[in-house]
Amino acid sequence: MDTLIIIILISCAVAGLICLGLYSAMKPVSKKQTAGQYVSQERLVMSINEDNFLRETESRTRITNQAVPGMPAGSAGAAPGQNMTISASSVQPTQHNQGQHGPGGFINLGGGTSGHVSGTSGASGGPGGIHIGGTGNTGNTSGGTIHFGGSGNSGNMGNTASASTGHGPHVPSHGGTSHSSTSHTAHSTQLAGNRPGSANAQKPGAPGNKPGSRPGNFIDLSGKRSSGSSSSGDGEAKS
Amino acid sequence: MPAQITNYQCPACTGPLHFDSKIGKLKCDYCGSEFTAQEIEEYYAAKNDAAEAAAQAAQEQAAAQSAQGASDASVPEGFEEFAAAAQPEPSAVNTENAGDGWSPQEAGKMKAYSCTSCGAELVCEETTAATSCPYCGNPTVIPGQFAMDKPDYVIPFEVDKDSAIAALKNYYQGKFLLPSSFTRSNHIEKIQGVYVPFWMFNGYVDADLTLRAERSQQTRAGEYLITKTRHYSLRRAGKVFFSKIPVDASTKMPDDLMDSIEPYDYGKLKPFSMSYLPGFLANKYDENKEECAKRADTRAANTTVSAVLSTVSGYDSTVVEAQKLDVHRDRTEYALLPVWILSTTWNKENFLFAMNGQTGQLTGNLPVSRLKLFGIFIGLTAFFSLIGMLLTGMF
Repeated sequence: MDTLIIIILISCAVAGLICLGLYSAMKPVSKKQTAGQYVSQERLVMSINEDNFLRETESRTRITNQAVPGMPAGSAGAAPGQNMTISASSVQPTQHNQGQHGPGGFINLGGGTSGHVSGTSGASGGPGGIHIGGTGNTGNTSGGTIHFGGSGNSGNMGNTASASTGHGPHVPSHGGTSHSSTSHTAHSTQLAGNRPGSANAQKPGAPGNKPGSRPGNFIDLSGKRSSGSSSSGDGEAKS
Repeated sequence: MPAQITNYQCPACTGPLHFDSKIGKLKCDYCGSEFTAQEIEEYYAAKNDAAEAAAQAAQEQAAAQSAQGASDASVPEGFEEFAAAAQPEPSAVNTENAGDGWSPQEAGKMKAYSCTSCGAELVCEETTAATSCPYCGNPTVIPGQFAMDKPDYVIPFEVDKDSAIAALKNYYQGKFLLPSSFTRSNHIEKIQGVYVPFWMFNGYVDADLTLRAERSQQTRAGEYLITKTRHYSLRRAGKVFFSKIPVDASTKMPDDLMDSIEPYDYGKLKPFSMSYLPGFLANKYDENKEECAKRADTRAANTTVSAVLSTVSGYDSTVVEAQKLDVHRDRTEYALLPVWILSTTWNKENFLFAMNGQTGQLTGNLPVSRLKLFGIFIGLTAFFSLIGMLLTGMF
């Protein structure tokens, strides 16, 4: 809805500018303010032409890695310790992506207990879920903790994604700006036979969420792609 | 006071002559003879010399008669009071006659002449220098208007009346916002070729500008972005020479309209001659050069600043800190330039158009249909919204 309003507003502005141009074409009479046509042949005769160097200043700006360049700051998501139940069908890629990159937000997908989410992937989603939280950016960058629980819940939420059957392990991410997923790869047993739909999610050492990745697509690693039906499980709280 | 008017008559048949802009010559309305401006000037110079000699003789004769008449008209003793009462004061009589519907100020701005062709009385504004007799239609010129301030130049008309009318119709083409009723019911109410008085200003502008400029360079060192900015102080001084900046010197002509039909081709400026005027309206100036100079100075100063600033290059940003401009004016020239004035009325509103009588450039504000404007706005908004929705994948 917001996008539609923005589109209409921009369209109004562009149409207004064009109409203004058309209107101006109907009123061409104006006083002249310049006399360039009457400059005689000698034109400009310069008498002073000086360029004096005064000083040099230097400024340094630290380039931070806290946010993926080009990505807008996301919404904060649910408050720590609170549930934010989102059914799979309602999760939009953009929402998900924004949430992932929200500063210090928690995203709890599913209806589990605090900080724990049931599987969102539908068919084979068992108990457990996904808990993405952290003080940084969804655990992708600085200091986040990521819990992936539940079978088949993975998606391309981040390079620290880890999936496990049942209650997922508590996977503390490494702090800092480095991508911590290298040491927390997905469990191979759970992934066996699954369709690694999201290359971003399950690859060891994957470079995290990039603007070009497919954020928020729920991939059912159990072999079925999420069809949007969610099963809210009783996830186990994991802090 | 210019009391005499001249009807340029054909030396061959004495028919009225008018300046034909197509052939650039004076042409007889009756026999079709053509004469150059120089030929007519020489012809009339000889004629005027003869007329002046005759007038001189008549004046001397009249003076002698009045001296005799004064002695005859002496008032008998005791009747002076009655004679004084019977003698009206000249100024009072003039004001009463002229004040029938006119204020004294307005009446003072009108002048009456007798048409030398039909004898009808021509009432003109005090600045009128050429017109046509409303009764016989003969082109009439009032040479005395330029006796004190003779224009230096004139540019003769090159565009004729029919071309001006055709140009106005073309001007309406492709104007989407023009109300349909305006185009349908539009009739040109009046079209008049006018020699508009212009002052032409020559001179130069001295400019001295101080500027602050910056040049920046960015490098990356590790996780830092280093911006090095070099600051400069610039000074530019120079002069720009101007030649013949035109400013219309008639209060009857809207300034913006006259500005909008510039420029004129000064290569075709000719020394002023009255013989270019027959068939057109001509006015002498009613704004003096000091009043008009301000407009020329502003234009010259703006252009000079732009020219000086164009010498500054290689900087990321420049800011003018101080500027000193001195406008030096040389000789100011006076010229009559050709303009076709076309007027029309629509919805009780007058629309005035002006066309450069030399180059044919036409300009004038047109009415705008609000309904069409709104429709175009809505249509464009819908179109761009649709494009936007398609691009964002909303469909």
